[in-house]
Amino acid sequence: MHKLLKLFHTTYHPKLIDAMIKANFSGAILVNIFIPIIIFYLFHESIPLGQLEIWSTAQFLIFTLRLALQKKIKDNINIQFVLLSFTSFLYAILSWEALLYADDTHLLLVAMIIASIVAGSIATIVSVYHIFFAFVLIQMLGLISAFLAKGEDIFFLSALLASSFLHLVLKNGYKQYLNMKETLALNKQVKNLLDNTGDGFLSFDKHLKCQDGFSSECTRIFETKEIKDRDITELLFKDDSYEKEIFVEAIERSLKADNSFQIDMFLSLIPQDIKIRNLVISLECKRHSDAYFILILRDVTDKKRLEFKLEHQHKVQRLLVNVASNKNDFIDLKNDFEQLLKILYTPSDSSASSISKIKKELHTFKGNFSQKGMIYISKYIHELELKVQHLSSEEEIISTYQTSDLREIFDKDIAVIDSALGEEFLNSTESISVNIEEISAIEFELKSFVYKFNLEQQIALNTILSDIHKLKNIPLREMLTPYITYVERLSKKLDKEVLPLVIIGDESLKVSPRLKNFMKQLVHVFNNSIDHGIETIEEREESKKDPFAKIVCKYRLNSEILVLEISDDGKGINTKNLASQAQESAMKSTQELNTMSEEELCSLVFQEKLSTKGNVDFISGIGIGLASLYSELKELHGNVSIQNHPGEGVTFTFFIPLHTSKNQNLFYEGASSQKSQTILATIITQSELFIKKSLGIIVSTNRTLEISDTNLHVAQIQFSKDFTGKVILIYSGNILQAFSEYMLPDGFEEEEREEIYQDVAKETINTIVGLSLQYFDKSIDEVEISPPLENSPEELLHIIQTKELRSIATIETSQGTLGIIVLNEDA
Amino acid sequence: MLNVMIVDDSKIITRTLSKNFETMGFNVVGIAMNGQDAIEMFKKLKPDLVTMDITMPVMNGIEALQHIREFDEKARIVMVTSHGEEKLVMDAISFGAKGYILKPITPLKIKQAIQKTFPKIANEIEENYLSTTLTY
Repeated sequence: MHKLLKLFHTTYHPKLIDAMIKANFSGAILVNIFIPIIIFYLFHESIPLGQLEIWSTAQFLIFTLRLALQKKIKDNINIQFVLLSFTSFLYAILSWEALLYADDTHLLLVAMIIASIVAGSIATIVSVYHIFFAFVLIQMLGLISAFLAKGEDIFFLSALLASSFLHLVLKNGYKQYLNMKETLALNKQVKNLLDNTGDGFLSFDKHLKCQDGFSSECTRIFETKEIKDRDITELLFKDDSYEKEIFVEAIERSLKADNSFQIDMFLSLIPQDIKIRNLVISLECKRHSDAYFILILRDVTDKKRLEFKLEHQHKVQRLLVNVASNKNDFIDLKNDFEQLLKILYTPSDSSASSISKIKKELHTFKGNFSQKGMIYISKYIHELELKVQHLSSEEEIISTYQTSDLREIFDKDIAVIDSALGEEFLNSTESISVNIEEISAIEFELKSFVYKFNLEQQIALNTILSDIHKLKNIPLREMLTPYITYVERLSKKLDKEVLPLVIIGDESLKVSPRLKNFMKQLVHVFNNSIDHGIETIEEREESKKDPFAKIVCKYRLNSEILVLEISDDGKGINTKNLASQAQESAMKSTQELNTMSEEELCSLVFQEKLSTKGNVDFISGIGIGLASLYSELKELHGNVSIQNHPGEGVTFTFFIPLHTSKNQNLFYEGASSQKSQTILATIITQSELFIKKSLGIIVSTNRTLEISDTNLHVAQIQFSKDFTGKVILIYSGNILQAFSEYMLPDGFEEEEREEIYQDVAKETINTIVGLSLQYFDKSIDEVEISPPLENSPEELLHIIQTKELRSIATIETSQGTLGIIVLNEDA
Repeated sequence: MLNVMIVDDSKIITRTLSKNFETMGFNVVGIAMNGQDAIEMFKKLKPDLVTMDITMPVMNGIEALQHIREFDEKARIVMVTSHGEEKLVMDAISFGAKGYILKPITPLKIKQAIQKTFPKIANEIEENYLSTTLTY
């Protein structure tokens, strides 16, 4: 035993044994190491010792060589094969040596050697499962050969060897099996993890060949499952692209690099964002071992698209600001360029001088356009310049220009502006911005000398005045466009799919600013439409509707009445629900509800009380909003009708008279005759003059009438003969007090006040109408006027509301207002 | 703080780089307009960091890099380059360049390049960089 240990220690250093076992050739090693030792121990007397020692040393040397080499080249199976063949060859020589002894022991030895060669080879090449069976088979062979050798001792020895060896193999094999199982499970886990990161992982070798094992994202990106063994550059790049060259070069360089810093540097130079089909993929490459690289592919298409969109929006904004802030300048530039295009596209002389002129002009335009922030055209001109640069013949240059897309590209830029600012913006003639106060100042100035003209001229001037007044109107479109963004934002918030709001109607239609409040209230219609009317995308798909809901806003002018329609294609109003709500809140009796038409039921949505119930369904949240819209509408003397198509959508149609008052006390002109207009104009002028003269204060006049009830006094004069009608003056605020102080400079007793005010009111109207008489034109040659009368405010309201033929004006002063009404009672 | 030398034939680039370096708290000790001048200047100034353009008149950046590395093999040189010059950058790295900045130059890219070249002072740069981006 001592002898054995000694031999073991001298021949096989423990570290070497350890290394051998670690090198995972355990089976082969055991065969190679232990068999000679045991044989030596058992038969050292019958075998010439020198031979065995030589044999065992030689085997050890071969084995060490094989291990050392194998460690270095474990990645290359081909070289391993050569190595195996070589060692096998050496073993074969040894076997031959052993055979020379030609006795049973040696035969066994030879059998074992051959078995070990086979086992070693198998162990190296095939997987662990198979080794196990291979070894068993080899041992069986060993047993059979020992049996055939007929030596009982030898058979016994062989069996002993085999059983101990089998035990080792079994133990080792089972361990390997467990390891393998664990590794496989781990692999599966890792693959699972990688599949779920959403990134593509794959590895490739130094020959750029893809390896087995890649995350599922890779198959999506490459649209193929056959990734293994394919050339990675073939998957990633188009042929002959510069990117491919860089990729290959970076990989090659990193293989030759001296240190990890350089490797990282080289690999960081591989193209970062590449295009695969319509995807943008970001690449990251890491070297993972001497011969393998890991590639991480990340789909950044959406991110890039968003970036591009943001950048584009940014550019558009810049362009719009530039264009809008200096509109005239831009229109000039546009016209000039269109002029140049005309010259370009019409066949003309292609003389060198004219071409150089065009070149220069184009270059100037390029600069100007880029300064304006035009998105497409300046870049295109630049490309065109580069193209033309290399052309020498004038014909070629001119034809390059003529076949270019200059116009199309330019129109693309213009379309960007048009879609944001409206086509009108650039097509309209030059415009300037005017302050509303400036318009009022002009109005005022004109009015102050209207009286100087004869009646015909006064009428003309009045038309001008009303035109000037219209300048203060606002485009209706301007009040509606904010809802486009509103609808977009709200639908996103409520998770509904709604197409962009469509607004249809005359873009140039302008309306009085007093419609502003109503237009603001329209928000409730959109709220209800999106929140309650429009279904979720699932519901819509279920009811076989277009998954994207549509809201349309239409308007048109129908003889002084604005018709505004807002329709959606949602589920409509649930009238049954509304009715039961109304019933619950005891707003309407069952009987009433039964007799109500569908439309009447619908109009319940405008009832404030219904809202407070806060029930689910269409009703919830409705009330206050729509109720306030409704009251705003009523103040405009407007009306609404609802067309409800359950399951298909609902349309709200609003009718808004453009010439009614904003509230009960504000009046606009009704239909008026030329005569009443003339009279009004003259009376305005005279009143203004009278106020200026008597009170010495500044006045301003507008053609509405707001009746407030503070110190309201009304006086009227009846006209007859050429003009039948009334002139009514409405004094409010402190104006009557101011007139009284003017007429009675000595003052008056407090208790006389009311009486004096009435007198002053009558006296004032008398003066003003009297002064006006001489300025009426020939059509009102002869009129008779009654003595001034006094009215109560109630009578006044009644008159205004019942008489449609009226002309109205209000003169505002710092002391109060003087309202003027001319009623035409000719008919 | 680090002494930086800028080698570039474009005045816009040198201006951008020095402005960025200064806001990050580095000293720009010299600016050379070509490779030849760069070598002489390097020998005189011995800067901690050199940014080197690749295409320059008289002597290009890669040649200059080699000469400088011959003179001082520890020289830290970062290449300033644009897309399309990747292969030249790889040459430069093989010859010992410590990094590269891809045009257009941004404070972030400069920061990253310096962090790679001087990992130890990365934190310090981080602070300076933050203040740079804040003041931008």
